[in-house]
Amino acid sequence: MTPKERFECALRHEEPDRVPVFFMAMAATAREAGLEIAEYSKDPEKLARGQIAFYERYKPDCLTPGTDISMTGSSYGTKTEFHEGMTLPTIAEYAVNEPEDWERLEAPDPRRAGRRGVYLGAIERISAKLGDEVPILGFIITPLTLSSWVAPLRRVVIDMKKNPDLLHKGLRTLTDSVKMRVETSIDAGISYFIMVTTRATRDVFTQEQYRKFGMVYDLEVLDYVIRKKIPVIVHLCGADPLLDMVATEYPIDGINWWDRGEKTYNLSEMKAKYGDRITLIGGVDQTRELILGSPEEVEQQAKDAIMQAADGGGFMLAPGCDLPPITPPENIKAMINAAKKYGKYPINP
Amino acid sequence: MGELEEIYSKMVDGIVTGDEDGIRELTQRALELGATPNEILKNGLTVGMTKISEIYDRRECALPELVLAGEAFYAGLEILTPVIASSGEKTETLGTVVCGVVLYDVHDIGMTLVRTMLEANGFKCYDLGKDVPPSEFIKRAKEVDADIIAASALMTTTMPMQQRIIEELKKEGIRDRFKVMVGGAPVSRDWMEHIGADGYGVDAVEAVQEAKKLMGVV
Repeated sequence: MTPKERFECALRHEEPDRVPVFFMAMAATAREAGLEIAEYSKDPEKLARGQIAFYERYKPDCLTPGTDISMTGSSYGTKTEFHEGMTLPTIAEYAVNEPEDWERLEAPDPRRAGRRGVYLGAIERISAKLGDEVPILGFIITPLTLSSWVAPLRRVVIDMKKNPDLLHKGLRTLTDSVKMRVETSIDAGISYFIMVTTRATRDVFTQEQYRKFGMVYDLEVLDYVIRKKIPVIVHLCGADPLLDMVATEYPIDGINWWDRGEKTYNLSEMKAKYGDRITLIGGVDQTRELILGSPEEVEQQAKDAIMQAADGGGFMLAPGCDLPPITPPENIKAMINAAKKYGKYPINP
Repeated sequence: MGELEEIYSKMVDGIVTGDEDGIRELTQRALELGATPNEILKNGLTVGMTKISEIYDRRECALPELVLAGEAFYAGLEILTPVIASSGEKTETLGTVVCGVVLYDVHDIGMTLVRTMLEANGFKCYDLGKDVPPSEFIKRAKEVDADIIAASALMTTTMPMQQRIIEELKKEGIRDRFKVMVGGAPVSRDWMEHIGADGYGVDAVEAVQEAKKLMGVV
């Protein structure tokens, strides 16, 4: 099977030839092309080169071109500061600083604003070269998440309590903008999306708060994407994600979360609850084994994940969040090798 | 219930609901009734912060409530600070902490909460803000004779800066002079052990417990 066939098969909850390996590999791919993150982040050709080099070296089962939050933020008027080496760019100045700024926020040009053109240009290049072979996933950043990239998170949480109407105005603008960006991503060659929410976690918001300020907008965006018959995977950041809410109320095809975290469901628990209709994506701890462990430890954890959740299909082996740029290459290889060694279907003949 | 007791009880509620203006009035009133800043902190403001952190621990509230409680706490503290300075009243501190977000990282909401909780629990804190180079943590820690250096990293790309602080302390031959605490979303106890730090907190509440442990008070 090609990575694309394998990925699609797993997303349909069927058994491919083996367990696919999923990385949210963004700026981490710069090093594969011998680039510093700053140059990778500013040039569509270099961004594409990093992604293609990452694919050629490891042969993962999908690509997720991108860099970091400053790239998305730049479209909305945040100022970016670039650094040397493998350090991610940082937001030097936010677009929203006072509560009234939410009203002034405008939906930017979904093709060109900030570094949007870099992103789309890279997608076009990667898609032209690898589009038939490997799934290229586009990012959808949920409006509430995005609000905390255009404003400091402190501004968002204070306005949630003190100026909810103004915050809702900002979220309205961001939601409309996200839908426009979905369109331009599709035009550039995206045929699968990963919807990222870094805020649907109880250490940031209660379920009730997330429903009111997050979910209502997420569902609007999801509805928009689903009408186009495009599969969506949700990625939930955080130590205490609102998994039940998302798994039961979001019309999604797959879900990726930090399943090795302490306050959340592990893979087998999720498999029992939702595995019949949502593809589970995870199994390797990006805060411990992947960056600190030996290749043998990564292999063992990957094997354990496969044993927990691969049987019957609907599973992809993945870290619980984006691939840290400090991950040793041999640990990335260990994940791929583990999928080949232990993930051949049928898993339990 | 005496008037002061009633004020302290209202203060606790004021912190929990994040009522900045209410806390200002109550703090002022408590001073007028003759309470010392230490008494107001101990019986009112700190009790309120402990209560909100317990509510957060049970996940019955989240970041918005914690942030507003912190703002209310500082509204009271702002009134008390000049009184403390002019009265010469000694404040009891559990220890001195130099805290900040590491170089190339600008996500400071978590560190601000940690500082608030540490101060509410009797630590003296010097907050260096965000994007703080390792050398700055060490320079400040030496200047104020800190007990603890607390460094937060919110991205896997900036976590190595926590390690750099420890390496630089070793290079200067003063590793034993300070306890080093680390925290931040991608940081784990395993990472803490890997880089040879002394303490770790999964959130602001645990960070306080860890700091107390490091100071030998629990």
